[in-house]
Amino acid sequence: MAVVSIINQKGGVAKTTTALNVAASWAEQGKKVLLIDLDPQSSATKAIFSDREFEKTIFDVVIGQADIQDVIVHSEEFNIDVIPAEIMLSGIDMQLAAHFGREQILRKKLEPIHRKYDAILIDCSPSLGLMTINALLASKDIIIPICPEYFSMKGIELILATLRNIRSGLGYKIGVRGVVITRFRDRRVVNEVIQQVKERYDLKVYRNFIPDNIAVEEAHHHHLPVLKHAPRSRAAKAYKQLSKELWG
Amino acid sequence: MTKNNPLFVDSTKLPGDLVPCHVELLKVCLRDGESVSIHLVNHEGRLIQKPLQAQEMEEGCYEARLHLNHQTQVYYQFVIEDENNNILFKSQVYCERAQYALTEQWEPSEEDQKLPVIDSNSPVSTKPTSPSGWQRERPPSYRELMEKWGF
Repeated sequence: MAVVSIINQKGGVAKTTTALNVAASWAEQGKKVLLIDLDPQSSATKAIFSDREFEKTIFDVVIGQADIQDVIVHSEEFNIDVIPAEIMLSGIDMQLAAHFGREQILRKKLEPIHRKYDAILIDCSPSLGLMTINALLASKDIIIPICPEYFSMKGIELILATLRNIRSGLGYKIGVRGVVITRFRDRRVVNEVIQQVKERYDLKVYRNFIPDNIAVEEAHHHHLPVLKHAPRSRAAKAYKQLSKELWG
Repeated sequence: MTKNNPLFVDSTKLPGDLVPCHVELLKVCLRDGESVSIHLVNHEGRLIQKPLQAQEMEEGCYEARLHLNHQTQVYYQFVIEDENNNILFKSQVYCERAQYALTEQWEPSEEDQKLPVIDSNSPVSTKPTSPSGWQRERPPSYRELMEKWGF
């Protein structure tokens, strides 16, 4: 397991929820995990640390104002290391527009700490911008969470087009590890979506689906992973099984 | 030629810099004795012909490596020949910016036999194009470089 980005250019598909709970599950299985929040909305950061303020974040690392080792924060509840985000990331495209090597900054910054972790997960913003490109170039492959609905195909199309553009324009080949079905309710709809994903895009779809479960939202409110907040919930069991499937 | 999103332009390269380009042709089925090659006309009007080799990991995929001038306009076509170098099929002519990869899918049909073969006399632009419209006819000056990188 290397650097993996959790990404979908459509919002609301449980990217952050998946990143948090998969990271926590891996940590529970004894893995050393780093989660990088690259979303200016800082959803992952807030879900873990609530309203805690950080003097230095991934923003400072990217603009060269901090070393990456100095911004890593440990979460006892999730048992993972985290690099927090902040709203300043929203202006990073303008700040780095003329920067030489602007698309490879994160990849280079991760080099000193790469081998300290069994897995590095990147929670990406849904919008396509310079930080998303940085995340992709830093990643060996990606995981695409989707909700089983019509627009989920659009999300996959967009991200695959992005990967093609990165390949031709920047020379990096990034694989798709697989697709995770999240927020599922109806088995029939899910089966149709899976069939479409496999036929249209020839992508792997992980067998463990994440159900639409209130326990997940409650866990966010308590700043805990769902497997700690509600270990017997369907979502907790699903994330536990999914994390094993993702690791394998 | 498609629009150019600056997010997908290598900021470490200037227009005109030489970059390795991986050419990939998918879904092609060749018979015994047949070969496929790329015929490419670069921004200087020079014709480059290179055979594609079968990719071991993926059936029906053929690849080659060229060195092209970054962000310049190129025209290219794929040609299938028999063992006597007779042209059997020609793809449509594609127009793209030279970058790190050119990937196309082509399933040859009888209609393709009527298409012309691209050569250095084909009507192509003799001036390179770049996202900013800056055309490289001479090495850039320090002022141009400073303006480009925002100093």
